[in-house]
Amino acid sequence: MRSTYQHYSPTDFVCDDAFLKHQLEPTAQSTQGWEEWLQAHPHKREDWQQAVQLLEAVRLGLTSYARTYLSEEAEAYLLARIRATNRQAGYVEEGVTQVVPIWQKSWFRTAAAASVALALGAGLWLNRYPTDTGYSYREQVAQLPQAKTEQVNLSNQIREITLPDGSQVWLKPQSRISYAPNLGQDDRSIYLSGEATFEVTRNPKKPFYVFAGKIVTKVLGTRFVVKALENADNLVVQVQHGQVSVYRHTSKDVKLPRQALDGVLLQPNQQVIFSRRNEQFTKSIVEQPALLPTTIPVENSFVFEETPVVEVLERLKAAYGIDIIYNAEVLEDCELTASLSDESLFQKLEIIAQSIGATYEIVEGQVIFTAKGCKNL
Amino acid sequence: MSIHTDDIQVWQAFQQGDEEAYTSLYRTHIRPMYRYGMSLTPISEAFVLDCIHDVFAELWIKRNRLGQPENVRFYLLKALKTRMIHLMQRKERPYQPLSQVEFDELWAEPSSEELLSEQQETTNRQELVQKLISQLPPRQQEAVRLRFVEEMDYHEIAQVLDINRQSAQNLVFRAVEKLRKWLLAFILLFLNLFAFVRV
Repeated sequence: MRSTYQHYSPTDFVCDDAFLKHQLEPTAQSTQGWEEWLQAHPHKREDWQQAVQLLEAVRLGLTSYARTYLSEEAEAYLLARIRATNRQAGYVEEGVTQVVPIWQKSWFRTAAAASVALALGAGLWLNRYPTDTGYSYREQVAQLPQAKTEQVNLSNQIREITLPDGSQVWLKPQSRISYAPNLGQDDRSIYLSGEATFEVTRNPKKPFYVFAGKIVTKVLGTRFVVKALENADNLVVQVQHGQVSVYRHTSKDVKLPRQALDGVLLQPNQQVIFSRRNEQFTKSIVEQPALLPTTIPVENSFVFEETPVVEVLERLKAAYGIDIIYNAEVLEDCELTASLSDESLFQKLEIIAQSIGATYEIVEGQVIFTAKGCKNL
Repeated sequence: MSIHTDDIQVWQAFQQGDEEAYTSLYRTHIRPMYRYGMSLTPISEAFVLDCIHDVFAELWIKRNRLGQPENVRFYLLKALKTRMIHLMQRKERPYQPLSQVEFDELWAEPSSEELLSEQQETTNRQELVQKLISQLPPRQQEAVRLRFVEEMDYHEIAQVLDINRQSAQNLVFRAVEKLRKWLLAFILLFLNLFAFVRV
């Protein structure tokens, strides 16, 4: 042990080669060496202990860096790319390496397991999701004429990103977006893989487009979620407020769709699910409709006392931005006395329907409220 | 640090044109290369992947002329950084330049109030230290990553950062010392949250 250790501070220890090596890979020898030294220098034990904790803290803070890694698919894909380059360069001399049986090579043992994983990854990469062919994130981004900015969220938390046009994106873990660095000047197009929530600054002259697989979501200014996980059966778009339209992405080259030939218009609390398999849109209401942000939360706004049911339904319509279709004539004599402040939209509808012997169903993202009338009640 | 015999054997096999060994090199080192590359320029993953591609493609072409590196990981990380800087200096791509020494001088050290408000948003110890590390000047951050995750010695860190050995040692020392002071301040303020002393 070095004599200078007597004058070491905790930081000196952390920066010392022998100390670090012992902490990372202690051996019987290093353990004994340090133990003897500490016994001979008991006044340094506290500093030494602090150094151990300091190193632990520093390495803890570097955990997320140390855990940054490529997906298996991306790793396999990059290897395939490198090999293709090598082959093109004509430097792969096949057959030469077959002389020595592979299992006789000492390094093979450690490499074997991971090679299997790599091969599997490569197979999956080539065979999965044939329906997105030509429209996958990578392919669409690769076709862009100009350089693009890519944002990747490798952490395990949602990442908030402000785009050049002031729009906000909340990017979920393992998701990525690409866009032109001058987004907002010519057009506003974003390419998404994974899941993200968008809050788009309003600009009717320059619609905002989100390209995800075979669908395009067009918006003028609103807040919505796009789910385009690479391994999921469906693509989903959900609107929180504002209005968006979602189309099928038809043109092979990455151009903005000119017309909504095959699309759906979404209102707040509505969602559309696009099946990758049969390429059909299904419009519905999101699982947990939220009150519109524009609604001023008035105390007792869902407290009813002998309130006409028509008025109750109109209030729900306004609060959630969801269309409720009913026959006003039939509901003419129906009244409701209830406090529905804490219930969700569907619970509210259930209570109203039950109290007047009515039913409701959801068709195409709208609520159809069917009653028999209240004259006899 | 130490010379890994496995690495040497794989390297020699690769130099003789063994594709399996070449693949094994890729598999072993892709992860550190990727994270290190991303830490230098987190703005574009595609750019980092392109550079890794270039490093490996060049390795294959030049395999007959290469020497035996003492530390393969260090060799590959250095090659990756060189490639990234080379491309960025040629301005082939409109990406942000790497953080340079001048940038360090502009780096304002956070005030204790700023650090304190950081802490209030932080729920656990790992996040806190991570945030503190992100407050260090970029080159100190890089030095700390190379030292404590990539496990390079000061001589290797010096080569990657293109400085001398003593400067590399100083960078790591200053970073660790700063983290120690910040952490101590927090321990005094939030004893319960950061029970550093093991029971």
